Amino acid sequence: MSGLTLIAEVLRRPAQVVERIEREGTLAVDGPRLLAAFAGGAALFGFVIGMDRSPLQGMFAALKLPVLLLLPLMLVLPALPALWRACDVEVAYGRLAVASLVGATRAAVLAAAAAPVWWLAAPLLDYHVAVLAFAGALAAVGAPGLWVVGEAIPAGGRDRWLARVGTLAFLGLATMQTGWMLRPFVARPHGEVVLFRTVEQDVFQSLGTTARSSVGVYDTPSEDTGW
Amino acid sequence: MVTLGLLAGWLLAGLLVAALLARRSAPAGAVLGALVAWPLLVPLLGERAARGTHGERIDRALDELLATLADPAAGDVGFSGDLTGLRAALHRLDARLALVDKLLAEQPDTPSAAALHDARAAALADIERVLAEVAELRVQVGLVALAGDGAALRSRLRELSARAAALGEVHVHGRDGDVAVRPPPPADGRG
Repeated sequence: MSGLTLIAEVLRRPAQVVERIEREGTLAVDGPRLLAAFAGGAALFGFVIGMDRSPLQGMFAALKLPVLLLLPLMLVLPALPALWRACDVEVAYGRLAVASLVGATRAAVLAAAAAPVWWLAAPLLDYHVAVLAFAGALAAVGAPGLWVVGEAIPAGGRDRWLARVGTLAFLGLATMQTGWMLRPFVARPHGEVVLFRTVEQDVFQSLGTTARSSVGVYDTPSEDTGW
Repeated sequence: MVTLGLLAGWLLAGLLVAALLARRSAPAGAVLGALVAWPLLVPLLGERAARGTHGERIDRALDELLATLADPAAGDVGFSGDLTGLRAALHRLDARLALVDKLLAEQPDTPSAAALHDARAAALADIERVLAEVAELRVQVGLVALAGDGAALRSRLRELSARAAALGEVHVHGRDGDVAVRPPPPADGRG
């Protein structure tokens, strides 16, 4: 299967891609292709996100967005088989790894497809609204990727809802905090263009601050650290 | 400092996994990918499946075909697929054959031994049929190199690549759902 065909199948029939890779044992060949598609799609979206401020910010975001999308998944992955086993669902780590790779690729390709929309809409967005829109866009493209992982888990077990909630919670928290540590992606209009900002507070406090700022309620300058 | 330490640890783990994959002759893409995405590619380390007695023949036949296809003198056959799935399927079937041989050697007189013999014969016939076809295709690459028309060859290569899913298929027939083995039909439709 060629690279482009693989990407098309990941978008249209991701569950079948997972089954095929597991059945035919082609992770060694398809894995690098999926990683390449993932990195390309995420980098393109990151570049468009940061480009609104400057090409340098675009390049910084292009480097960081693939890390943002993949690192939380890789950190949480080892815990998932144990979490599902607690609900009497046996799922092999290898199957979850393949599903995660396919899901992440799907999310990254969808993000790349959304890049033109962001490119056109970004000049119209206020900084704080842009930050919230960025978080919303990540959630929107991440959901189809997470669906792939969910579909790879065998049926049955008890209290599956508990394992699902736990999986989403682990991944969501890890992604949010990773994004916070890797910021900025959406640069402040008059701020310095930097690769990383100093780690201050945590993601929940910052999102709350940004949400309030987007409706005109500003905290004191020392607390308004933004994204 | 903590962040740098964690990053160094991550990269070290990636180097280790990449080195192990390289020792197992994994594709270059998998080795490079493992440097940063090793948690996703670490299952490759566990894929060292049991090898049967025909493992070397299988690898040699497919490697020779791939080398012939890649030879510049062969011209552009235009086959963009790969035979990884077929190779993996042949090895899995060979490993199952090895298990069956072991069982038959240990328990030759059980009631199911006759059916197991039939299944073994069908699986071995599958492997021999595919290896014969691979050898034939290699010769046909030479014909394409001289005559220039690779359409039929490309078609047979794609078909060979797709046969992975059908290898060793077990067909259920007979009364009461007794499992018996009927080899899949030949690829050319005869029989």
